[in-house]
Amino acid sequence: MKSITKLLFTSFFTTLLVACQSEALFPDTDTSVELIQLSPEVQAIKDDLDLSHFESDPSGIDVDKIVIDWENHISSQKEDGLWYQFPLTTVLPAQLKSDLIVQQDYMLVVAISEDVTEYSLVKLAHLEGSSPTATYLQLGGFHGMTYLYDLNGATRGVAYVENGETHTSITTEHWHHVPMSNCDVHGLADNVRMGTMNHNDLHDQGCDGGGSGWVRVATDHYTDWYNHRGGNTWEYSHTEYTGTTYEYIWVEGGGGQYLNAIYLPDAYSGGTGNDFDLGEFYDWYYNERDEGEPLRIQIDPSLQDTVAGCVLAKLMLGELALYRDTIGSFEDDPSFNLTFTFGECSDGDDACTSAADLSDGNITIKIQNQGLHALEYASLILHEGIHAEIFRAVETYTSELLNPNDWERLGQLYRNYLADNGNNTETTEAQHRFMTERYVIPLAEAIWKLDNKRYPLDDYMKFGWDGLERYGFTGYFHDGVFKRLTREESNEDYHNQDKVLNNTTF
Amino acid sequence: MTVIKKLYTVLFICLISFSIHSCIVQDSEADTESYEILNMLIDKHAKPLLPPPPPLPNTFTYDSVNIKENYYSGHWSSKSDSIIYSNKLDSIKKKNEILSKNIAQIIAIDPYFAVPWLADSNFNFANSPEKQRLYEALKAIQDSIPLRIDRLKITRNDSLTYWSKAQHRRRKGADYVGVDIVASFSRVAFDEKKQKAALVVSFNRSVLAGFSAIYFLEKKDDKWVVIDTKGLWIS
Ligand SMILES: [Zn+2]
Ligand SMILES: [Zn+2]
Ligand SMILES: [Zn+2]
Repeated sequence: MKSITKLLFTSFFTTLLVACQSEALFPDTDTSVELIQLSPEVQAIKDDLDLSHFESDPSGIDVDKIVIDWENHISSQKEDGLWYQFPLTTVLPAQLKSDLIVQQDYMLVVAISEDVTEYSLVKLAHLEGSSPTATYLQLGGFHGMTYLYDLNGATRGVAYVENGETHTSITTEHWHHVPMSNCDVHGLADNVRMGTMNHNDLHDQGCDGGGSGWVRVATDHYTDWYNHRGGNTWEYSHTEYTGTTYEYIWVEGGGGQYLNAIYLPDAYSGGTGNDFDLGEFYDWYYNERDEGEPLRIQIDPSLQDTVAGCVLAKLMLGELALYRDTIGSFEDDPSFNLTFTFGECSDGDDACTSAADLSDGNITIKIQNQGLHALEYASLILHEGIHAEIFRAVETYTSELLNPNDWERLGQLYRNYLADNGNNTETTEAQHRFMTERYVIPLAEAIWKLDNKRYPLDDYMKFGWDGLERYGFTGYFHDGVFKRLTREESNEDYHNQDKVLNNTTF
Repeated sequence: MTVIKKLYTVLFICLISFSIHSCIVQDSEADTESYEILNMLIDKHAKPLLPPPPPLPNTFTYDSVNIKENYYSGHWSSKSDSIIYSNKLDSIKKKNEILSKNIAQIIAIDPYFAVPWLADSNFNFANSPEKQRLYEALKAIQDSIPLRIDRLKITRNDSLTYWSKAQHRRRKGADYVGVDIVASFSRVAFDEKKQKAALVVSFNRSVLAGFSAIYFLEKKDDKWVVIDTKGLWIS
């Protein structure tokens, strides 16, 4: 085992490049002696370059491992100054989970204007059809993504380039850092969407094509370890996973299927962790699950490729009691059919539960709003799930959700508001009063658990209050005690929710 | 000016005024009726929220009777409790009515008589051809028309504003700010004599708390009254 510590070199390993880059895996660091005199300008650039503050997140570039080819620069005079570009010769990380990216190149780009010298490390991610020889200063024929990082490693800008022309870009002002999650693909200036339902939103941004949008893809980073066996003999020991970084790429048209394919590419392994795959899940859900048994929880195809559909799948596979006792109860009740779909409620809603055919046992949960965070969809789905279960419970007088006290109180409220378990103002009042008293904390707890209890439960209260705030302001009974939600508390809940949403990996 | 010319001018003016007149009459009739229906529905549904009734101690033990029946008949709680509860509720309700009058709300109205949200519905009002016809007329409506809140006259002391997502939601996922209720209405389908009507209505107190229904109305003593509803969803 000691011999492993005698490793000489670690390289980033990529399955994309491993076949053709054997020499690059072993750069001879001992002989990196300068043989050629650099021009004074290049020497100055080299002397002034300080990479000691460069953070490898989010670019995934480990500056200890890069080698800059100072001798092979190109330069270009632009309006805003003289630009230099130096290739980075070391093989850099990237086992892209996306099979859309065919090649990835790195370079140092320096822009020298009258008053400022700006260094950027640039990554070019070539998509299919891109000219493999294109560089940042020679973008002709390039099709793909350009990523600029400053010397602290922060993202300076991301652009999608088509035929050498910048098609759309995002800059740091709009950068909204949300860590990767399986379901949550947006989070960027609130405009990143998944699926094909976002046509109009993208039109509003002046972009064409249904389903186009920024999509965050994962990049796994690996280091290969070798044992030195004397002389020139190196024996491969193992490959160490060193982390995952995420970046946005622009995807044109094509709709949800395409987005889904890049977003959740791993094989569904039956789990809900990082290897969760939505397409595989729905394959299983529709084709393999309990063969021959009817699906009592139907998921309309309109939801499959969406964040909401992804969240629903994860809830289904998870172990949340609140899910099991609400939506889950429909699995066991052959007299009911619960359907989830994208659909129109009215302009003021995010989702609704239609029990217009309750006598036939049909309940439909429609999800309307696009572009929510995954955890927000989770609380919205659970909220509607509680409605569905109350509808079902009152019809059948059976429920795992309601204990005797709940039945008592629900009965009082139904009677007080003259509710008849219909789709009307009386029933919505009774149910929301009941939910305000009874489910704010369980809903918050559910989201807290989905988020792996990253922060204290208190920080998740907005999820519990979703749709119930106004009843909270008006006053409600909790454990028999009259309480009011204050505006200050609510503002604090929103504030905490922002923090949760910006850091969740659900 | 020749006589012929004069004649043409007169004829022309007549034609113009006639067409304008008939046009206005037709439009204003339809509009006035629609707005009257909305006035009635807003008065009926846009009431302020008030605190709920306090919980009663648990005294009820369930028998096998259908729970819905229990809710209505009142034998879901022992009789004496039920009476105490009713009395308690009565006093609360009276208090609430007084309270309610002093609450001024802001009601946001969707700025269009919308295309009815019935595209994916397939109801069958088998026992009422009248309703079936109105429902089908509603489903046939293909376009929306502007809704002017200055033409609404509500009896409560509330103010009306146009609903705007941009203005009334801080961000996606956030609840309403600056409005207490959001109301949306579809265009109204009338029968030939404008004595019967139907429309889709939704009232929301929050992004996840509201309801929507088809309302069937009839004109009685010059006033629109609800004769039936078909619930669509709660949110
Ligand atoms: Zn932010
Ligand atoms: Zn998000
Ligand atoms: Zn609700």
